[in-house]
Amino acid sequence: MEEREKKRSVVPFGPQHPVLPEPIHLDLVLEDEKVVDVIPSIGFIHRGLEDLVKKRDFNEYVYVAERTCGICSFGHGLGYVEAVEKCMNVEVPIRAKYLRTIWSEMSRIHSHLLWAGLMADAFGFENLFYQCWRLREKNLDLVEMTTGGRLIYSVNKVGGVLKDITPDMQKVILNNLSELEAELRDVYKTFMTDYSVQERTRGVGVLTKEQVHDLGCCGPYARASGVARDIRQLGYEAYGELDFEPVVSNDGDNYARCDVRLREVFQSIDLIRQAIAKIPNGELSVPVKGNPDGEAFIRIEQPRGEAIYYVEGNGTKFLNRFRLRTPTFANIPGMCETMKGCSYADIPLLVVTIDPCISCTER
Amino acid sequence: MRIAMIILYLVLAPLLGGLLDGIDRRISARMQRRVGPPILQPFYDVQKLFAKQRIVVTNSQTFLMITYLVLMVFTGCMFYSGADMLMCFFVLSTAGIFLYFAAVVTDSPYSYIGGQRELFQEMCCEPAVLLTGVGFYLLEDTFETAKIVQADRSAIVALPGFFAAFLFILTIKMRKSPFDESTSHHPHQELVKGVTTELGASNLALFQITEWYENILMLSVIALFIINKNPWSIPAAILVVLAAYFLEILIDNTSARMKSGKMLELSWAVTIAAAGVNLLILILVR
Amino acid sequence: MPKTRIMAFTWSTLKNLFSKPATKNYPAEPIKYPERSRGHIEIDIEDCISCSMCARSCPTGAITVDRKELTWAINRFDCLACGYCVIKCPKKCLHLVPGYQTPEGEKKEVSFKRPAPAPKPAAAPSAAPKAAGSASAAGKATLNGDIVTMANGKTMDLSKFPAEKKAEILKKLGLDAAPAPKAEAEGKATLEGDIVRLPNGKTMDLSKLPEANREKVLQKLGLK
Repeated sequence: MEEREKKRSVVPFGPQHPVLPEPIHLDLVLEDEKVVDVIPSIGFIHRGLEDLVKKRDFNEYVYVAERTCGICSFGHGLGYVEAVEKCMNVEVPIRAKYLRTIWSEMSRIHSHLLWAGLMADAFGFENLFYQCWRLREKNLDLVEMTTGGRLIYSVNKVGGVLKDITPDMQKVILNNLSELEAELRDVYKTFMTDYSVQERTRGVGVLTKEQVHDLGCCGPYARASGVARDIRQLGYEAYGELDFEPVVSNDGDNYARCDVRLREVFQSIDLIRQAIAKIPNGELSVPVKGNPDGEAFIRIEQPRGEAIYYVEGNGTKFLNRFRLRTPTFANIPGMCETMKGCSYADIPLLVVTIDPCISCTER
Repeated sequence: MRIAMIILYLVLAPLLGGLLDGIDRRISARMQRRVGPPILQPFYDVQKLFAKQRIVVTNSQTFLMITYLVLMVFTGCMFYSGADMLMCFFVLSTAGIFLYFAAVVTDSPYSYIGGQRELFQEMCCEPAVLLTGVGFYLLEDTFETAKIVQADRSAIVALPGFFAAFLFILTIKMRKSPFDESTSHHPHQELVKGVTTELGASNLALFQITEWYENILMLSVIALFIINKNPWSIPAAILVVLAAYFLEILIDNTSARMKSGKMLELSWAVTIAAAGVNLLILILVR
Repeated sequence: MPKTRIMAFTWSTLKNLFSKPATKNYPAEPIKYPERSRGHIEIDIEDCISCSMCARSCPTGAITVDRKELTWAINRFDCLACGYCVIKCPKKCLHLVPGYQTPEGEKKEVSFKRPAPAPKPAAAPSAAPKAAGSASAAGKATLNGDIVTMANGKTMDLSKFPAEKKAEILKKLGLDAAPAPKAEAEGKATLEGDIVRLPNGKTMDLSKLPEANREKVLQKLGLK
């Protein structure tokens, strides 16, 4: 059998590319339309946010931490504030915990719907893309009604929350979520049963359970390969009092990941309903005296996976160090693994399927 | 008479093509719950493109795009002047080659892959297009469109399989999902803009105008299946053409893009199944 | 094996075709913002005391407070509408209200200078309690000559009390911390016409005081 010398070309994918939500650069070495090698490079959106803890006091830094990323913004504010609270041994009132849980789930709905739209766009189904984002607008209206902003919530503070969700607002939330759920069923059905969508997602980008363990992937990316790990099960905030199971699928391909993320939206709607039914009366925040001193380290379940927050205080109002390990950083090796040997047309899907949030990864 | 038809085609085809393009965008937008651009928007776009400064990688690209336009117009004129249909289809393929050259002459990776996919698309369409010509020949004993429109019965009655195959590859020719492989009317596909990535200003305007000519030509072939001696067949043909166009828009808005390999499988499968079976039946009946 | 359907989205698409567009015709149609929408900062400039807490707390540094000129400036293009200044303001004179800054053509920063209407109303109410009038916004008692007006509106005539008792009452009400002794501790006060400018930045309008007190104040401040 003779080895034909195939012509190799290098396609620069990104950082500017219409299908990428955030800038990442991949040098794809192609033979005809088959990808032979992937050389990633990041660093286009590094802003030095972790260094800002030295210049903004620990209360003010919430506003900086929130703005690490537009999509996971509430999660970052929450994680930072929880880490500082743990460092200072502050016990947040129970109502504030429930409110934080409700907002956290709303953030998850918005993030997954955004992702669903990008996924539809990546496989060329623009109509589905627009419908997913139209549903996301319904969610954003709820967020704007309760917090004042669509993407940046600005409701977290060290010691509790700043705003309340009144009973009237709760009614509006439940109504709108019911409407959203009804329309989402149609979108979910299309993602799962449409022939052309299945052609693009089934059997593409398969990661087995062992590979997930070896590469250290997390979040829905890992749950789609059968790893039933959801950090919300640790019971932070009010999750300990709510009833849910991690959403898992076993196939490990793009189809399974669509399935997991869309089912998580339904799960989030259910969690919000539970939280609103159970929310107790109480205060919104406790006053916080003094400065953080010592280390603290917490993990939360961002929409993209497990995010780890570490703070170190030295007794002054400026923290010594703030470190954030994002889920996308853990998933990038998995992405590079799935890209080897795939065809060029699959590249956008394989990038979008990890739900990349490069702005969090690079801060 | 022939001269009149040629002149009508030369003048009306881009206008009708642009108008259909505008209607397409408007209906697509409504299907997506958006308002959509005004119906004359494609004309405004082409006007704007001609006003922009032309920056090309090599000057040969301009020559190649002009040739593409000229050959496409020539094909349409041949078709409308009543000439040999098979010749029209061969010139059509040749025009496509010039688009491929215009894309690869720039050495840009996206453009290059887009050009390759354009050739691949041609390969998928060729069987159905050529078989259409063959089908008409078997039915009417002639390739000439002038004689085919004088037939007693609409061709579709005897050539339903050919019609189905042609309708299937119309999706590919009109660059609609699921087969918008080499370039697409929407951004965001993996090849940025594929074949048209490196086209700009007046070259892109020429591409746009050529697309209008091509669309009208393809729809005219659809109409040819319907038109016969009876003058009432002309409005019937227009209705069928509009229905086919609407079907294309609907398919575009309800499918994801398939991979090139799948496009080849599906288009050849449909061609062989529909047109091939029809061909066999025609041969046996003769 | 999951089900497979051709063109599964058709029914939704056709329904959409005959539905109203979901997009709004902005800016032709104005947008209704929800009540809590965080758009821009507005200030009740009469209540501002130029303490600069807002400027210090702003994460982007969009606010500039000039004590001397008694101005409060904000660069709306830098403002994130985070609301931290609203929390930090001791006078609660900042409000975060709906309505976003409209885009402008030039990249130059536009600063919206809001000069205090007149220096006196801006500084005086929170400055020396000796300012004329009834209870101030902060709810403190005020002194006018020998009449003390309490926060709840009641008045007390100090001339009825002996001197030590007077001092005791003034101390309890916090009215004995006259600007004069403080000014002496921190530096010199200056006199400009009828306006006394204290080293701590506060100002006092002597024309509002009765004749007798004016002399007293000037003596205390060492300006006479």
